[in-house]
Amino acid sequence: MSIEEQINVVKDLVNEFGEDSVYDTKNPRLYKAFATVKREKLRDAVKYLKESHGFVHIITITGVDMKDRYELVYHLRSGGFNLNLKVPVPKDDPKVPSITDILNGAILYEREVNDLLGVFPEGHPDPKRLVLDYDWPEEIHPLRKEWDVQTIREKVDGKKWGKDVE
Amino acid sequence: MSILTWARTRSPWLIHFNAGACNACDIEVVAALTPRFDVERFGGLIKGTPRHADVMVVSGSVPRKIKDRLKRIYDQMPEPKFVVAVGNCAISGGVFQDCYNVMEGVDKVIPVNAFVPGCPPKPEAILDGVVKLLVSAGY
Repeated sequence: MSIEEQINVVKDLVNEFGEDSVYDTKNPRLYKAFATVKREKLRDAVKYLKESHGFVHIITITGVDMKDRYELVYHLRSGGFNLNLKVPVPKDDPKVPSITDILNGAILYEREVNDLLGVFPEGHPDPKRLVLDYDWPEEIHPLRKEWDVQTIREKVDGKKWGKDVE
Repeated sequence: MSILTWARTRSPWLIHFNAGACNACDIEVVAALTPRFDVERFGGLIKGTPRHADVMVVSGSVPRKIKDRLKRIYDQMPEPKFVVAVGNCAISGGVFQDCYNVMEGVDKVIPVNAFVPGCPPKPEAILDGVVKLLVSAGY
């Protein structure tokens, strides 16, 4: 696949959903591309990419706390070509539509993002806890920037402890 | 020296527990068991079950999810029992010290008799730690 074909894949995506829904597209080098997709169009975009361009493999989902919003990055792959879909999520409504029924590989990644960043996958078949401890408090999502390690220890263990606290 | 101490210190059976280590310490522990370093000249033998073991060799920074299992394995060992913490992670948490899910060392969860620093420690250092433990126990 040449870089022209890969640029065309991203252009197809923009033409299909419009420049309001898919923006900030980038092809920095061969086999690498970025696009930002609105949350409402995420399922449609993933379905379109799977059916029209063969993106059947999801590598992982990354969650980022950008201070003013959360951002999920869906790393899709087709024949060595990585397409990273960024999805901004507002902080007062941390939810995202689940894509598990389209790409089954997302089932664990969505649960992990729900654990660590608190972005709930709506429509997930089994959205229970994956990586955190069994008696971990529900409201603490440790990768959010508002938490630091001593505050978490105060909440979980009842007191601060460690090398900073003597 | 009583005959009991004599017998116990000359057959320290080991159990190896990985509490969230990256496998570097585990490879060095396994290397310490090979004929090149030969833990058997001190009577040491790796055992598969905590009920047969006298010395627990722990590596790793002890994440929260594994601390209950570590405590449970420790409780299953018969008295007298000893713990050797292998590697920087098992001593203080190492590079994972300020992580939200890390207990900052084995001694926060169970009592530890000997610490072996290093990232990872050499097999000679691990053997030295076990031998120093035996000497303190009356070898």
